[in-house]
Formats: sequence, structure tokens, C-alpha cells
Amino acid sequence: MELTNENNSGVEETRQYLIFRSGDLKFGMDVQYVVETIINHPVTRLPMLPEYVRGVLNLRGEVIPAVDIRLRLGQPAEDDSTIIVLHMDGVQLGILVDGVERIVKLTPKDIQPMSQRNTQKLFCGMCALPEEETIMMIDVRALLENTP
Amino acid sequence: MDNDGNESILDTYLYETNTLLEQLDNIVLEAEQADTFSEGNVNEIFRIMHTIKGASAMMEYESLATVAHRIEDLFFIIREKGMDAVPEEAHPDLFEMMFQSIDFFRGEVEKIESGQPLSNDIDSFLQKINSVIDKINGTAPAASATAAPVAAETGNSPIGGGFPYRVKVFFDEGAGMENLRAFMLVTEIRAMCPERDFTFFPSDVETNSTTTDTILSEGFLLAFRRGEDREKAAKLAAASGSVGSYQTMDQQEREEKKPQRNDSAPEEKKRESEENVPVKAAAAAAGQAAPQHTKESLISVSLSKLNQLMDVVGEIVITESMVTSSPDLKGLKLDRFTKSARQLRKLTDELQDVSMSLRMVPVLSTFQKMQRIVRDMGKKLGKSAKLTLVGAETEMDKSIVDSIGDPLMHIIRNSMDHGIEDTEAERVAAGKDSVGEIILSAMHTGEDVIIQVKDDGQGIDYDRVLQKAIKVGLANPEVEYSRKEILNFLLMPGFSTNSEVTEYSGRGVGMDVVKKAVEEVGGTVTLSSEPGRGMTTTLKIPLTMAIMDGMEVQVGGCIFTIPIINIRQSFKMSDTDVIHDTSGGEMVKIMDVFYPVVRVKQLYSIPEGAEKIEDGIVMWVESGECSYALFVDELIGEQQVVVKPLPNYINAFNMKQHGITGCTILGDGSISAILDVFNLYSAAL
Repeated sequence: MELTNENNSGVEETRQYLIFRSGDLKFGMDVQYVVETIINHPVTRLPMLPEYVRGVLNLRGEVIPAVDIRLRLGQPAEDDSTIIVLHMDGVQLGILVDGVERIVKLTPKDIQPMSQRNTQKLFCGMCALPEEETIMMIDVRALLENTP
Repeated sequence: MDNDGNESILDTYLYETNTLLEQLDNIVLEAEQADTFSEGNVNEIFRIMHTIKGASAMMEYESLATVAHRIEDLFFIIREKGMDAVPEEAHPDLFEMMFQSIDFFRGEVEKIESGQPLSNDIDSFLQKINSVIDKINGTAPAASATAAPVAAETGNSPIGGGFPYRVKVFFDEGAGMENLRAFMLVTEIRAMCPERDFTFFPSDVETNSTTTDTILSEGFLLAFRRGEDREKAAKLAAASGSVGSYQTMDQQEREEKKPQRNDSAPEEKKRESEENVPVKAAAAAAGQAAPQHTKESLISVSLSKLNQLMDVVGEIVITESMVTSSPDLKGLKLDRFTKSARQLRKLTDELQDVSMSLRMVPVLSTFQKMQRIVRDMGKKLGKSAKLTLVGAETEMDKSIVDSIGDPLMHIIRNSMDHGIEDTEAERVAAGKDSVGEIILSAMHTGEDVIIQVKDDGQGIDYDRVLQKAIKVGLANPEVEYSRKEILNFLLMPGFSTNSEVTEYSGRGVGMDVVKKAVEEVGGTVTLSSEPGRGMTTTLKIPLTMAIMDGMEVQVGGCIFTIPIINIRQSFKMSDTDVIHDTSGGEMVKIMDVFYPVVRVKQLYSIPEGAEKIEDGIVMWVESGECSYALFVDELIGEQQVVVKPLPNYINAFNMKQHGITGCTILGDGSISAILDVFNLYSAAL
């Protein structure tokens, strides 16, 4: 995990974000909510759940739900062998992604708010990185609370 | 008293005080039934009040200590004079006052628990207690002048009866104008104590400077009706610059208590011993509380430690299973290993049983709380009803016993409010006893505990219920509903047949909250009612939800666990055994009875799995009154599993309604969903 994209205005609060890939989009989320990344971990299907909930997985004795982030955002599913485990306020959630890229440091300045017309509550901002990389910032709380 | 080090002292205080209050409740209830306090009762109450007084004083909860002290005084009098000294007409007041005091203590303890400030307004209480004491003594405390010698320090009593709490103030030598200083003190006291509650001597200090002489030689006497005013005055005196010294003394009260004693010494000693009591009492509190129980050696353990123990034992069960059925050992012939593994299994089973039993407590304490409710409501509503307890020694997991308290309270309130007839005449006309009866019973049935509340009141008015259900939109006016279905409306949110909201029920919040609370501990609620004869509410709660015996079954690529107790039998059948009913549903005949078939594959839309009956297994399952045939691919094997709740994220999708009530981690680390036979059937309908 190389640290790139250091910002010049070091005075403001910099936070670290994990960038991951899913479909042809890139997403970022605050590292403080990320517990770990696991690969090739079996997920048990449970019936009667929306498609984006792939089921549950066993993480060292804990039963954690596994959500496919692409399906959650309304995109088709693809390669999904990587799972990022998130943790907030005692609630855990695993999200299936294509792959994890790197961690970047960003300040609030670097993140633009979503446009007024945006209805996707899971996003809380966008960030443009050098080399034409656009990162959609994920609102982890909205993801975990999953209110429709 | 909230520093870290003192928290456990606070916990102990709360626990002991609550326990004592419960005991007190029971004693007074019993006494009220008998319309007298037996000698044993009086001694016990005295002891309990003494303990509460001491412990509260040590914790610096003055108001509680003071009230406890007064009640202790009262019962001291009753002990000395005997219960006969209490006039018959005063009995109801006495009992009522005791109950109110218990409620007061409870209220204050709750405030302590939630960190709220305590009320200092205990005067109304003390008045009540004082008035009962007065009734016992016949008149106002001026009565017995025979014990005059008891008036210790100053033989003369220039102030008449009614102001037993006194302070004698002496001013500094050479302070000068003592009468005015005395008057200033009076002014200060007037600011915090109503005129009628105190008096002083000499009474003309404001205007008569010759009173200075009296003050110098005999001190300035202040007398109060109430002890706490006296304490405040004493503090004021202490804070006053010119006061050299003061003495506190009590008049006449002591006279009442000890008509025999003639010298002042015992009085002094009593006061001293009173002051020393807080320390000793608190220390003795633990010891004094214990003799209540039979001489079993008991130890109180924090619930969190027990929870921890249960968790670890649960994990051991899983891990033991993982070791003994490890895929590494597949196919190997391991005789000695197998023998040891069996031994291990036996021991873990025992460990599990014992740790489970640690949390089992009898429902008695929760049941007894209901007595108070029946009594209080009976008085308020003007109905007479008695509560009969059956099987109160039945044991259940402590957390479940705690959580059924509120639901039971609600059900019993409903019975009292709606069930029992309004007048005795109605009951007698219906051929019933004039006193209504509510039977609260608990009973084991193997894996469950059945708790029933049965009243012999009017029963449910089915028509009225249906009308209300239609009115709130829960029922369709066109449809004909069976009695059972009508009863179900009562359990739905927003329902209530009372057009007005009484203090106790009728808010429409009731039975559905009960249902939810019971379901949260894994139980079910059923109602049944016979118009005119009464109503029965039945709670069925599984003894333990944590570890259970399950049968692993496979459907498509999914593994499910079915609780063994719900499985009656399994069969191999074929398509020809299946009969179709009028609506296209499938049925099979088992032991000459037809049962509907539920195909798990279909219900859960599982892509793979057996289609033809002969390719799978038919399981005859049952839960309560619900009995049917479940079609799965194959039986994998029996397994003892630790029930883990589904993550909240998943539960939000109403899994329970679909028959999936939890999950478990199997020996090989995979996850299996646990099926609830009852809910699954409802989902399939």
C-alpha cells in the first residue's frame, strides 16, 4: 500500500481512504471503518433476501452479512473474490468487490459534495485524483444502516 | 458516592435495598390479608427498616434514612404495645401507609439507579407516619406525662407537647444582646420552616431584653415538630458566629417508647447508639439480609460473568464438534481417539448443562410482584379479585424471567380492567364467586415453559372486538372471521376496545407489545376465551435458546438446521403418494392422517434441488398445533448447534416471518440457517 497523492495544504485534517474497484468504477471509504480485507472466503447463501445480499460469511466465529456493492448500486455483478469487512458502532458488514487498490490521504477540500440531483444515498462525495481517476466516496453509515 | 471505587458499594446497596423492599411487599400483603401484623411480621419489618435506615444513612441518602427511621419508630411502638394498641379503624390506614412508603422507597431507588436527584419532600410521608403513630397513642404526643424524669438535660419543659425535636442554643460568653441574637436565629429559621412547625422559648426575645438572662442561664430553646427541621436549625446555629454551643434533644417521643425507664442514661445511650448505627448497620446489612433464606450457602454472581461463561461454553461446544468431526480425520480408523472423543463429548454436555442451570431462577419473584398489582388495581377499580399462583417454583433462565415481568403485568392489568366484572352482583348473578380469581401458573413441558394467566371474568366480547378491528382497518367487514382469528386482532398494533384510555390499559399499546416482548425471547402468545366464563392467555417460552439439538438437511446447495424436537419422523416417499387438494396444494398421508406438504426448494426459490418426491426425503414436522410434511433433498446428520442470531442487517428483511430464525456455524466452518417450523408454515400458506 503505497501512499500517494499527498496534498500540499497539510494544515487541514487529512484522513485516509481505501480505494477499491468494482466494475469500472472506483470507490473510496474512510479507513477507520475498515477492519480487514479477505480473499476467497466462502459466503453462504440465504434465501428470501434481495439479490444484492449475497448471504453471510463466517469470520472467526462471527456471522457477518455479505453485500455485493455492485448490485447494491444497481450494476451487474462480476468477479467478486475480495471482501472488505467494515465495522461501525458494533455492526459489521462485508462488501464484495473486484479488488482493493490502495490507500490515499485526502483532506475535506479534495472531496466535492454530490450534486443536488443525486439520489444515490450511499455516496457522500466525489474526488478527482490525478490521471483522470474519479473516486466515488461511500457513506459507510448509510451502507450499514441500509434504510431503503 | 459515585466515585469509581464506590460503585460496587452502590450496586450492593441497590441490590440489597430492592430485595428488602420485595420482602417487605410480601409481608405487608400477607398482613393485610390477615388484617394484622403478627409478631414475626413486626420484627421483620422493624429489622428491614433498621437495615434500610442504616445503609441509606451511610450512603448519605438522608431522606430515605429519615423515612425508614420513622417507620422503625412506628413499629417499635407496635412491638412494645402490641398490635392491639392499633385501633381497628386505623388498620387500613396503616396498611395503606406501608404500601405507599414501599412505593416511595422504590421510586427513590429508581432515581438513584438512573442518576436523578432524590426528592427532599418527605414531609407528607412523615406526616402520614406521624398520624398513624398518633392514632396508636390515642392523642397527640402530649399524653403520657408519667415518664417525666426522662426529660434529661433540663428537668423543666417550658414548651408543651407537639414539638419533640429540640435544640438548646448557648451563645458565646460576652457576645452581648443575647436576646437579639436569639431573635436573629429565629428569623433565619423562619425562612426555612413554617411558623406552625416550630416554637421557641423565651418567646418574646424580640422585644424583651430581660430574656437575655434566661438565655444566658438556661440557653435559648428551639423546638420543632419535625426532626429534619431541627437538624437544619442545628446547622444554622452551628454556622452562626455568636453561638458557642448547642445541644440537641428529643422530648416525649422517647417517653412513649420506654414507659418503664426512669433515668436519662438509657435515653442518652439510645441516641448514641442511634448515631453509631449507620456504620454498623451497613456492615451488618449483608449479614442481616441473609438469614431470610433457608440456610443454603449462596453467593451472588454478576450476570455479565454468567453471560461470559455461557458464551465460552457455547464456543467450546462448536470447537469440540470441529475437532471430532474434522475432515482431516475422515476415513481414518482411530479407536482410542474415538473413545476419548466420546468421553470429551460427555463432559462438554455436562459442562453445558451445569452452566445453563446457573442462570435458572424460579419465576416466584416475578410472580409475587403481580400480587401487588392485583391488590392495587382492585382497590382503585373497586373490584375484589385474588391472584392464585401455581407452579411458581418453576425455573427459567434469569434474563427471560426478567423480561416476562412487564408482559405479565400487562396481561394481568387487562384481566383486572376488562376481564373481571365491575360489580360483585354481576358475578353472583352469573353463578360465580363474588371474588374474582386470576390464576397465574407456570409449568415445564420438556423443552418449553408454559405460563398461563387465566381469569374467570367476562371473557372476550367477540362482536365488539370484531367491530373495533373493522373500525381501525384491521378487518374486512365482508369477511367472516373465526373466533381464533378475532382473538388474533387483539395482538395487533393499534388495537384497543376501550373508547377511553384508563390509567392502566386502553392505550391500544398493549397486547402487541406483549407479543413482541415474548417473541423476542423466542416464545409465542396464544389467547383463548369463553364469553361469560373468562379468558386465558398462554405464553410458551423455550427453556433455552442458546444450544439445541438440530438435524442438518440439504436443499439444493443450502444447508438448513431443523430443531430435533420439532421432527416427528422422516419418510422416503414417491410422487404417487402425493395427493392434490382443491387449491392445488400437495398433501401426503401419514399414519392415516393427511398433512400438507411444504417444499423448501419452492418456498425459498432455491435453484437446485430435488423435484421428484422419490429423490428427496419427507419429514413430518410439528410445532405446537401446527403439523405438516417438509420436503428436503437429504438428511445430513444430527448435530448439536449453538444458535447465533442473524445479523441485524439481515433481520431487517423479515427473515423470521419466512421461517429462518437464526443461524449456526457448523463443524467445518460453514453456516447453516436454522428453520422455525411454525413460522415456516405460516410463510408457506
